[in-house]
Amino acid sequence: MADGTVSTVRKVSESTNGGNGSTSVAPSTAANRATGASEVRATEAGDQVQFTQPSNDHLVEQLFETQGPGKPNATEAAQLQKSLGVVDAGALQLLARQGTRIGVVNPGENMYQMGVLREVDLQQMQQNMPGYQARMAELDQQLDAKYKPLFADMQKRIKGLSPDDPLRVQFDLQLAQLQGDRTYELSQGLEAAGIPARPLLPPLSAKEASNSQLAQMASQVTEGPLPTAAMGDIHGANTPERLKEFEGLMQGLNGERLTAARQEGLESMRARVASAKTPEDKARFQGYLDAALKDPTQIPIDHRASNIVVPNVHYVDKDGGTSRLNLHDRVSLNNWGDGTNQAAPQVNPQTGEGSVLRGQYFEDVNRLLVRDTMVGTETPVHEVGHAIEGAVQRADAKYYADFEPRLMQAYETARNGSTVSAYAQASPREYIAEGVSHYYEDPKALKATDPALYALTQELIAKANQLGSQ
Amino acid sequence: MLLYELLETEDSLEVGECVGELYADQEGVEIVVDDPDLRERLFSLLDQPLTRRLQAPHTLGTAEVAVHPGEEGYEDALVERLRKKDFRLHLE
Repeated sequence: MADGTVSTVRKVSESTNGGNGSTSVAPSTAANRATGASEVRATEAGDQVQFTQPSNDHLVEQLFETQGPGKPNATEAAQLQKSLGVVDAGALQLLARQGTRIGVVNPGENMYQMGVLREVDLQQMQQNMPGYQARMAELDQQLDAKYKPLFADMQKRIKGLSPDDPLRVQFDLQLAQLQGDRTYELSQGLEAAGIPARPLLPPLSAKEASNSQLAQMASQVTEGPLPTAAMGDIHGANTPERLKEFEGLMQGLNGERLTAARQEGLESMRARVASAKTPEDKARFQGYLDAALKDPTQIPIDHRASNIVVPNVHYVDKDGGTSRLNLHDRVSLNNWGDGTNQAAPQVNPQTGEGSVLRGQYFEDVNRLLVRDTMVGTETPVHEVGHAIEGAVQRADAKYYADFEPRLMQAYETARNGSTVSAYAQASPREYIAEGVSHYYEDPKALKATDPALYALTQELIAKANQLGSQ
Repeated sequence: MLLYELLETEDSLEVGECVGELYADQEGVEIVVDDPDLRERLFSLLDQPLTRRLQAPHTLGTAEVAVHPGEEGYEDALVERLRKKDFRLHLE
């Protein structure tokens, strides 16, 4: 879209609110956007007038990365302006004010150079360890008060039942579900408290758990007790130096809990030696016990029962050295071809793992990336949808606290029914991003397929417009 | 599956007349539509694999995989694709 073309009135409709000088800004409506009537609007007298407004090009352009590998070339910039020119001006202004940046990823470009990955500040983490421990103790106390009686009740029911008893199977499952609930709450609590730790593997969303290879991996990893050396290995701590550092973080985060869990682990190992049925087994189990006594990182820990947490630090090879990333960035790096944007060689058609990424919003650094081949598609608007949600949340936390439960409620309904796309059912974040994408691309279809999402999206965009126009 | 036309109202869509039938399984896609132009456009579309979008685990990343008839997600991808403005069809 070139400057000076006849633009539309759909972007914003402004009305001055009485004498207080404030302005309310409504988003465009499905009707005027979809019919094209937006370019021509009737005055009260019934005359048809054309509105010539500056296009959104300059508003879109101010979001572009201005240097480095993410900077769009002229062709990409023109395509992005076309894709994103439909977004309301107020929302774009809000993004610009919050420093949102859009980058385009070309093959071979590196995620580190894109500026979307942040190194974990190890020194700060170590300095803050006493504070983390105190907050974790509080969190544990709260969770224990809620879950310990439930666990005890379930264990009482299980006691005395044979492993083959159908009731035992049912109670075992219920106990596992309760443990999963506690893990989920722990995970949420750690995040809310700003503690850079998480359960060994965070609980998966329902969709991930039913489809993903990750779920398979999670079940393998979480099935039995694990030594901290193996936990470190999952985190990329595959050298003695990294393992030593990881072990220090484990001790710092878990303190006495780790010591107690190891003690229980040793007791289990001793019991196993004592109950071995053959001399060969006894010798083998004794060998494991001897190794564990020499090196505590080899003592298997029942991490679920002991509520051990792991540091949110993942070690990655970088330029012959070590990079430390949080889980989010580690996964992002992997998804973009370990930082080089080379698609992984094998694609799992069931889960998409190893597939080509179209785009991603990095909320920690408020940047969004779009693959070079996707700049002219709906992907930029979808990713901008994530950015708008984040921008509104940052700019008006009180409003968002009211909005989010309504979004979650609508998402739950849509997840179990139908909505505008299968992708919208992936998570509440994708649900609203799909809402924004369809709101601009095909509002009639959005309204027809999910009126609740249409209304929420319209409201969110109106809020973004208001915040952006202040 | 039956194919219905989608009619645009002022601000939404409504399901209209049935315009044909579509069968999709691992063998491929069969289309039974009277309108030769629509039939041709459908064949042309379905000649190519559809894509399915997925959330990359633990991130706000959008992944994409090709889906073929009979595969998980193909029907959803087809419903979404045919709803778009250039087809405005509803599958049921």
